[in-house]
Amino acid sequence: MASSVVTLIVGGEVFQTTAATLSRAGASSPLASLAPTPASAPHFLDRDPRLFATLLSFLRRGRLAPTSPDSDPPSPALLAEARHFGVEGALLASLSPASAFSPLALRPSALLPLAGRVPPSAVAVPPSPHPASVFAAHGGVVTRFDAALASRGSVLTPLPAVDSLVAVSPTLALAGARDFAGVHLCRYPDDAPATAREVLSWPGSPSATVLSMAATSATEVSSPWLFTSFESARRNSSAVVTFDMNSLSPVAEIGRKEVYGADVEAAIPASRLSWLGRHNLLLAAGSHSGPAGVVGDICLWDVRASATVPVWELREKEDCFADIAASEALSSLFKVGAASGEVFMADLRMLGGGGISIEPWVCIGDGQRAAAAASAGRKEGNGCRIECYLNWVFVARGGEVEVWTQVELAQEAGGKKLMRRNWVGNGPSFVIAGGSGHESVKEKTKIVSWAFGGSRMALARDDKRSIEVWDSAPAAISFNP
Amino acid sequence: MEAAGAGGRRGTVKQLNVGGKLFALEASSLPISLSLSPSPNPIFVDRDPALLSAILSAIRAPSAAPAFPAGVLLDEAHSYGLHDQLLAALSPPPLLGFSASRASTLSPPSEPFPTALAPRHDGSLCLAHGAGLLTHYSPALEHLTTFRTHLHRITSLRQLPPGLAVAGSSLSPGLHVYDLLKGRHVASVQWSDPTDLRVQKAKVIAIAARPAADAADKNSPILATFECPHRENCILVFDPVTLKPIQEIGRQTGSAAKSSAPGRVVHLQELGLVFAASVSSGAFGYSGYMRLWDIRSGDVVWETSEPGGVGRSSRFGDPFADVDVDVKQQILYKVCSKSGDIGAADLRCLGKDPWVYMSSGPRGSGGGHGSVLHCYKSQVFVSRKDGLEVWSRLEEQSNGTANLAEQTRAKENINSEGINENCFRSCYVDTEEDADRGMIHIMEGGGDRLFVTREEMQGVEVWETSQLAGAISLSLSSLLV
Repeated sequence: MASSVVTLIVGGEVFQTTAATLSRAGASSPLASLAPTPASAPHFLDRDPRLFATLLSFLRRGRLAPTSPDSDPPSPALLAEARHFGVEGALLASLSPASAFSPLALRPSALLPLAGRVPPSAVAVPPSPHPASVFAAHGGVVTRFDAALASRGSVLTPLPAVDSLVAVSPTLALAGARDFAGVHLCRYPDDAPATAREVLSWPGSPSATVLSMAATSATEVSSPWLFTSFESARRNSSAVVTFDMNSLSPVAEIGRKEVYGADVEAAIPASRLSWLGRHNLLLAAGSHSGPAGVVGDICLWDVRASATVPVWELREKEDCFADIAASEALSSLFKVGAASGEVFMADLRMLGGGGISIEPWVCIGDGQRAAAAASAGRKEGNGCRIECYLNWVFVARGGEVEVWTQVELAQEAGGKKLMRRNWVGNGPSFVIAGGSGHESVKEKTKIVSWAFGGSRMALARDDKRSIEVWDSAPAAISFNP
Repeated sequence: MEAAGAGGRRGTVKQLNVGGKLFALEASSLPISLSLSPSPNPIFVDRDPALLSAILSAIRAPSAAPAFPAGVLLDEAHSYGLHDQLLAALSPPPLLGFSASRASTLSPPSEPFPTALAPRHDGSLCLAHGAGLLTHYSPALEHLTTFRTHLHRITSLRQLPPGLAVAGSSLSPGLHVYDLLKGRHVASVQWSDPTDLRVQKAKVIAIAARPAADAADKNSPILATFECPHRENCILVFDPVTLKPIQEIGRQTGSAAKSSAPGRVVHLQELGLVFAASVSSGAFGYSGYMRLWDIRSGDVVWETSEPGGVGRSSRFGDPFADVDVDVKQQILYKVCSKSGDIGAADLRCLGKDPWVYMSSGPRGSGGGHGSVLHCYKSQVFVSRKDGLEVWSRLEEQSNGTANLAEQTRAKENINSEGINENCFRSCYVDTEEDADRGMIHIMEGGGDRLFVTREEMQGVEVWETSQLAGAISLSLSSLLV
């Protein structure tokens, strides 16, 4: 044991550790090459000893020890020091790990201000193995905040306003707009200014606008794919195009639809894409609001089997979805009914071959209310959003977020799996204003866009020029002054 | 290099080299892997020296606020065998109601409206809040987990020793056991009677799981009162290991106030008795009963019901609003609903009218309406509309000439039951501002803390006795603010 001890003198202070601890910094780090030495012949590093002590503690424990009870984000000086020692990536990833995500422990943790006057229209967080940096589009500008929420960088895209934003990695985000052609790649290299020079477009119709995008997560395939739902400028044809993100070339065109004559409903373009990697399925759903109500079209595509015939298709007429999402962990589809505002669930394993005839949706909210609202033609679900992250389903209603948890009963008690609803945070309730003592309703404005990643939830609210970040890191006790 | 020792006790001292800094720790407290090493040289430990020095200073000077969050230090203290010492140093001094103050407010992250509390003798807290959420706090009151149960509202909750919680709801049937660490449903228990088919879907009204301050007996049964939809009720006794019902006592029809389901159950293990009390209130005031059941025979040993009992005629029309048992002192305490007086009855000599009423003490305007009474650490905490009051017993005073007059007066007042009302003193625990926050809804003692929730208020107040003076500095700068 004594032979593996490494003695270091950093800026005049003695540190002793083991070679195993230093090797956790990664092979590219200068720390990994330090060989065990006797205490009489230490290595000498001309760096700040206080920052080095924090980094060494991080290597030992695997996460940063908060120095104060209200764990501050690491300072830019510490991040610069971490970059010097090659542990910045590991440090950023440890700040907000997906394993620490717990929706019922989410608390508002930071407010990220955006420059300029335009409120944010879209937010995105890169998928799990990457550190949870936050991207926000405001006007035509896409701003990236790093995972420590300590620094930011912006890039100007040619788009007048960004409607859909997808984060592929902490250095790459894709922006698209409903009224402007092409997918624009925003790159944020570590050592150069951010750029947005590359454009991806539908080869069949180069002026087509972007309705929705979805990317495969980086772990499962060597070259990530991007699915983009394009609609031609004349709005008479649409298709989902798959791009290879390494070569930036189109790979396949899925489900091309052409509108002939007045029958718009026969070819509703997909406005919501979602990739189910474990099932190798692409969910493409679109809805059309007409004088007769909202009609929707939900398709599941197996990309390898066929690009023209979906695996499963459902035409929605009654209580069509306001928003739809697919959960891999629960292997189900979830929707919010546009009429009822209730949440419905469809098990992916129970979708029949002739899916149109069988009603796949099971209401997991108040079924009676849903039926009544649907028949009365109300629009309770207008503007609701639904999103799945890990084992949970989130629904945004106005300014509030609700979460659905799956609770599994013990085998002896029936072993049933139940979906249960809760508000994230306080929920819509009276809040006693601190100090003044009188009751006031805290008005939260509508959620325009949201994203989940790491242990975080990022929210963009209507008319707020900042991004709200909620974190489920262990919170301290609130002490009274 | 810095040397430090853990306290002044004599013993074999082991030198440790923690990350390049020298420490001396008592060998007996160290874990085996460290203490068995025979070498006389300092043993090298690859850990953070700053954390160990913070642990040692927290143990030496318990009053100072530690430099790191308590949870980080407690984690680290495990590897040096200092966990128990550190926890003792971080815990508050013994709870004295007359000098307690509000130390903090625990606010769970989502839906922070408590519905039930279950503290343990080590100071950890399990909290039911919102719609079926359970939050677990460590003995240092650090947030551990929050998870959703399948119940919609948990109204009764107790902790079982190996990290389990027993929860019941007045809305849905059955008693349910959850694993607090994994957040999983473990088992369910229902009240069933093969000879009576009407007994089904019984809801849990109250749970008693071992006296809160007692950790010795591992096999004390769990008691729960069940009530069927048609109001028939009983107390079921469960084995804490197998979670199977052992015994059913006190089955009643529930057709009258005298036979309604008891809302408070206390297991008096030393006496082999079960105390059950039911209180109901309506437009015409309070009514209720208290009963002592022999757990072996299942017979009623003693009972009284108010109004209409055999009490003193002067107290007629002043029925009790709440009642609790002090298990250690073996005294029943009740609070009268009209006058707000506290009555005490010695369990060892219960007669027809065993109550001794305490006349002294603050008399608020509200009387005893809505009062909650809780016995903890030989003190009686009583909540009233205008504040929280504590009744504590004076220590036996040695014979002195100064209070001879008082002694003779005390002798005259000694009742045949042996409760001397002059031995009790009452004080307000809280200030008027505290009382303005609302009526106290639930009060539970655990460790050296008192946990208090208020009606329609977020969070749980933690009341502790503090050794810190908490002096407010009156320097010029603070006066200007």
